[in-house]
Amino acid sequence: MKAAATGEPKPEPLLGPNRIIEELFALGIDRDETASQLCVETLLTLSTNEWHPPADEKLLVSPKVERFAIRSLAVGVNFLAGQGDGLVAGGTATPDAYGELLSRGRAVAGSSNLDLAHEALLGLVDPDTQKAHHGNWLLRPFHESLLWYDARRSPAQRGGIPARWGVRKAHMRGGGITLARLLLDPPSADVEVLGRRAVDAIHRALTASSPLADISDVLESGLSAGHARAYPTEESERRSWRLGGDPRLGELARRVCRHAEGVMLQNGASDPAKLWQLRSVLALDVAVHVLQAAWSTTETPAAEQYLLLAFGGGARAADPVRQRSERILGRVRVRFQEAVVLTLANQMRELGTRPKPPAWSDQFELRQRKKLGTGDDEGVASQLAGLRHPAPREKYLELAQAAAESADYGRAELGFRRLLDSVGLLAGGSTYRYTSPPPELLGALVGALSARMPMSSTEFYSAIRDEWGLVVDQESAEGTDLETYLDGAQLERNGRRAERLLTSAGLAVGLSDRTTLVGEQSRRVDL
Amino acid sequence: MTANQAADELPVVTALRSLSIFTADQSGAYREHFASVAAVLGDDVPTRLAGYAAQWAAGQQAGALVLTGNAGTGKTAVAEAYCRAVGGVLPTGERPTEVAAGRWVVKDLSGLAESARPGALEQALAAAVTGQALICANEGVLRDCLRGPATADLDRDRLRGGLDSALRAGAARTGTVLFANTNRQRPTADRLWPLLLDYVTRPALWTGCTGCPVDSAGCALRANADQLRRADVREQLRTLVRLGTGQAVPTLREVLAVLSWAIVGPSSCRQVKEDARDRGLDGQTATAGYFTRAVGGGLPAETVERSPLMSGMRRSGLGDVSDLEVDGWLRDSTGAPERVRAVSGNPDASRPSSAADDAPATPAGPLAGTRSPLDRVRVGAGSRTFYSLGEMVSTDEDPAHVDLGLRALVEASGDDAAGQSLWRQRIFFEASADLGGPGGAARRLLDYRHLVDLVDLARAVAEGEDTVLKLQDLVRGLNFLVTGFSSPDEGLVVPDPACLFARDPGSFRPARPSLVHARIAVSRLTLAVPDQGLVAELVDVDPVDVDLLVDGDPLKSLRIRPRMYEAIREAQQFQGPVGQGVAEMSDLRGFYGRLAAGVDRDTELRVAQPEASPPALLQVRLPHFAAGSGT
Repeated sequence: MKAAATGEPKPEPLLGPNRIIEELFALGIDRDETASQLCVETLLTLSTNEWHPPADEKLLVSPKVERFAIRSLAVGVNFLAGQGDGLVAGGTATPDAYGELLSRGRAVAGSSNLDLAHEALLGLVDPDTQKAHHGNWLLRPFHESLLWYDARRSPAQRGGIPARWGVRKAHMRGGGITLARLLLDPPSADVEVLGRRAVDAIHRALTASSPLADISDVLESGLSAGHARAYPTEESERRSWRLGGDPRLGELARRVCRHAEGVMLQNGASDPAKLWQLRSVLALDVAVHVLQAAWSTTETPAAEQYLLLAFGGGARAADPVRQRSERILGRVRVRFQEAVVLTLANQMRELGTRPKPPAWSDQFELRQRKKLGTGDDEGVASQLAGLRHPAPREKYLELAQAAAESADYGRAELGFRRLLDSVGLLAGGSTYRYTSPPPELLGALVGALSARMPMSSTEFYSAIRDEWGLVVDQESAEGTDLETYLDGAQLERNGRRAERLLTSAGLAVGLSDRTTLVGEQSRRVDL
Repeated sequence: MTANQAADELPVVTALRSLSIFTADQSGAYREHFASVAAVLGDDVPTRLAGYAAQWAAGQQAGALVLTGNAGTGKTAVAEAYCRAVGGVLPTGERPTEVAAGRWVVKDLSGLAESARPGALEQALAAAVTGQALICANEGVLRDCLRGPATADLDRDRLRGGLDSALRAGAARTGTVLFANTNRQRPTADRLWPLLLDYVTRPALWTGCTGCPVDSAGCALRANADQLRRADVREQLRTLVRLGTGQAVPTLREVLAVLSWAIVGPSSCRQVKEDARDRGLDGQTATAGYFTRAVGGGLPAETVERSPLMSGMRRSGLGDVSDLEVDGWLRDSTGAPERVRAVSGNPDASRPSSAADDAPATPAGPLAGTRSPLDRVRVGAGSRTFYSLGEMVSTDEDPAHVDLGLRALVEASGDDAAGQSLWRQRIFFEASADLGGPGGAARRLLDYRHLVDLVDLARAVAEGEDTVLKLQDLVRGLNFLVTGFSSPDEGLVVPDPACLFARDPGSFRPARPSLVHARIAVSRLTLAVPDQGLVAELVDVDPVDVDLLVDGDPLKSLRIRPRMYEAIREAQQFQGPVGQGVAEMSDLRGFYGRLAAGVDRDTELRVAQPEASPPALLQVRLPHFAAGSGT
């Protein structure tokens, strides 16, 4: 959020996409935010706040962490560039020179073979973040000392001030702060214990002894104390924290705590494997939450509230389950659009009926205003200003539709897809996308349900329908409109293919009485 | 079954068809309807566990035998054997029943209402203090019953410990209660395997029906049974079943179903006779052969999916894996070993002296040299021997003929499998000696090239033989799999578990360096097989999997199953990209994660550098900053 000339934070436009999305989902979601950013922001928030909720919102510590030394070595880019003042690395180099040596894997202060450490760390870059520029690259979230916030390089300024890197919001948009609140201080008291157990297990896993941590700690210690900038907590970060206390997130909190606890306390998986599953589960829970909010807002019939997982791999033309899955994703897109329009219309009405209606043109984001024709009598803002409030509902809907078509409100649906994509749930190229989980994601689902494992495949399908609205076989399709579109045998075959995938991924074992037992390895040992 | 039917249809054919779970008629596969099958095939195949129960029944030793395992693993059959031994009959209900004086049986604890189970268990265990009680229950039900604190009548803690031990070790005794896990029973056990095969193929069952065409056109069903009496063929089938059972908990019912399908498929004696009458030698072909049906031949993929055992056997790739020499023998068997020439139907090959060789003098033409339907393949509207098909595609000057032959060779058509697949399958079973023995045949014709080696290794471990060299090979393969560093000289290299996520052994991209958490000397590693000790005395076990243990600690162990062994051996031998599954990498991540948590870290920071020549662990020295210096 940019500071106004007076130093006061400029108020968020009440009809802008961010505010409408928050209103709709009680959670920020952005099209650039993937599972990687969501997870790392969550873990950073937990870590910077020392694994406990701040006593007061004002005491919230920002998740902005630089770790420019280890980051320079891992990514191969000098994040300390432009910092030419003073000496670091035991007084042997300027920060800029230190960063340069690290980024090239060169020897520094008696080190050797840092280039090999660079190679090893490069293999740990989360591939989902590598599509962005280097400042947004993240390592897989395997250790506390390897977590950092998005960085941007500011341009060189007049007076010879060189370009410098700093951390700032790019793809991390506050969703992780809200998730951290859900784990540390959930709005539903009934899951506090689960949340606490999950956080403790995450803490243990992220701080376990590791050579990776040794490298990070030593390299960061080369920067003198106080060298790394401390970033004050922004108002938007506090707002994200506040959102986590919204009772509308009660169900999401229950789900996140339950699933995070399940993943982190499962048996038979290494700490990195659990943390990697946590990344998937957090993103999937958020995606399902926003989808359910869209369904709820649009009063979608219960029979349409599901996603169909297709397990095939054969030709598209011969796979009716896959084709149906594609159509369901198309239907979801329409529901998101409708939900945004309805929320926008409701917000317009609410603002219009206030005793003192706002300046309408200020209620849209700056970059939207031109598209919305705020200077034009025919523009949405102008029409709202000229309207006698409260107007008929249809009028608000008409204006909301016009606003949604001409400005950037699609980010909710894009964000949803991006989350699904980043956990590997979307398959089928760019044209015919459908939902089909890879083995890694299935592992995360099994892990999230570890407290109930083992269970038969039929029970597993039923459980993932209850938890995430995912349909696989005929039994879990009960009560959906799939009966109209697919015959039972096709869904049964889909279920068997899913069993085969589960078995080949080591997540299930086939028994000769024709049941498939899921989660035998991940079940808790409680005897 | 009426006398007329018996004359027209061999009783064993009817019985086996009803044992198969792959067709509509599968009544015999269920215990409730087993009596009619038993009337033909005989009583249950005697398992070691049933024998133990009968022997225990004959003695006076008080105590309880608790059988736990999945449905279909033979618990009821053992209970039936016990009842017979004490002169009683298997109870019809599920409640604790005194089948003879002081002899109690709970047929299936899970058959009782949930609230009644703990009481029934207590009652049976109380009876076992002075008498005997045999209790059948699956694991979940037993666990539920044993929750809660100990009481004067029931020491739940001790019993829970016994159950847990039995699940880990296969069997455990706690006081007078003996737990046995029937999931550990393997149909391929040394004692059980021949009994199972005899149960369905013994000569007395296969005497021939009225009008049997075995002497004219031949009978594929009898030819299948004949071949499955051969020791070498049985051993090859055993290899495939071992592979299938490695990925599922097998039941004898399912094994019998697969055997039944392999021998008779959907056929009946009547159909065989009609085919022989109407089409003569063209009536039956190798498509009805046991070698293809055992891996799902003649069944739609969806049906095969319903059988974990058959699905596992099918994953062997038998028929799809090519071998230059084997395929060359089909095209030209002139220089092939005598046995291969006989299998191909080469008219010049000497006739083997097996029981299958009872076909009459064969006609001239494409079927000259045929000995049974198993050497014939469908080509267009007629059929030819493998030998004749090879001649057709290799030497025929008519391009149309060659085209027809090539189609029959490589394309499946309708119910008929591709000739080339049938050939490889038959060679695997019947000419393994010419491929270098069972191990050679597996290496050349299966996707699981090292399966036989794994079985050999498991046996060597079970018998306490020296396996140091094998252990070094395993370490070399594991090191390559997880770090790209292939030397065993540094012991087992334990990478930081995070670095395993950067490793893709299937990739052609060279491995990146991995940070090393620890190195474990080979002397700290041992091999063990899962089924040893008490379980081997009670249950028919067959060592196929091997456990690699660090410091003898079961919590720091890696279960090496066929697929994992395959990946390790490929890595050890080729040190290049290996075909590994998600499950194997997941197992490896779990194993190395446990090791990283349970063994001390190296004091020095090292990196496994795959590109070093020779591969080496290189030390990384971190910068040393003078205290208090800086800006």
